[in-house]
Amino acid sequence: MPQWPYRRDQRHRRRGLGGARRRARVAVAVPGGVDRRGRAAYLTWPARATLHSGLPLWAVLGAGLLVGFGTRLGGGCTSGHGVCGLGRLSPRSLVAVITFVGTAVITVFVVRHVLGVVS
Amino acid sequence: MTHPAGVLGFLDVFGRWDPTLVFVLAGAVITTLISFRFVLRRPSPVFAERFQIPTRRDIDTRLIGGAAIFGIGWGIAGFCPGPGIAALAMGSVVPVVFVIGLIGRHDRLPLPPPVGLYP
Repeated sequence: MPQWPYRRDQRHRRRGLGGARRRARVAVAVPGGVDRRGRAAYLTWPARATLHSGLPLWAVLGAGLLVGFGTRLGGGCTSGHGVCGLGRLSPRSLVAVITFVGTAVITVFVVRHVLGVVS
Repeated sequence: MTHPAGVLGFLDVFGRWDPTLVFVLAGAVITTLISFRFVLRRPSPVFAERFQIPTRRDIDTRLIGGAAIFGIGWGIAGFCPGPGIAALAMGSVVPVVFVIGLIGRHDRLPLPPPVGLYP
């Protein structure tokens, strides 16, 4: 039995963690791939704070709906209008990029400085 | 950027500004600016029959409205469609929630009628 604090790859050896949970860990680890030293990629998962903007999950769900619908309505996202559209010198894409960067900056201002949400 | 912390840091113009995303976008746009000049002159892509290039040059309310809605969602969650899906491999439930909203049933929503603004 490894001593507490456990290394992340030794967590499955804690008392009570049976074979099913070990297999579940492997099932999750495999799609993530392995790094150069052969360790599962899940060991290098970033801290949750870098993935979470600080807003509650229902807001993240709503944000997904907005991003999905906005992409459909506007014809592209940061990759479409931003990378490909600007690379083609498309005036439509320039307008789109300025628009969504503008509303995103305003949104972040409201979230972080008016509502005071910290990630 | 699959890390909303970096994206939101860039959008937090009025707070602690993180310019990292500028270099990401600059690198991508410079790449397409140069490469598209050569690639799009070819008769067809290598693995497809023809290039699928948008031909519209007009600006309408759908473009601006879509970009604005996209920007709000982007500012809330810090994810775009591509990075959101890529972040599914990072072991957090946050991008899962985002992608659920992204591919949610908003495709059933009718689009507002377009209003031409330019030309």
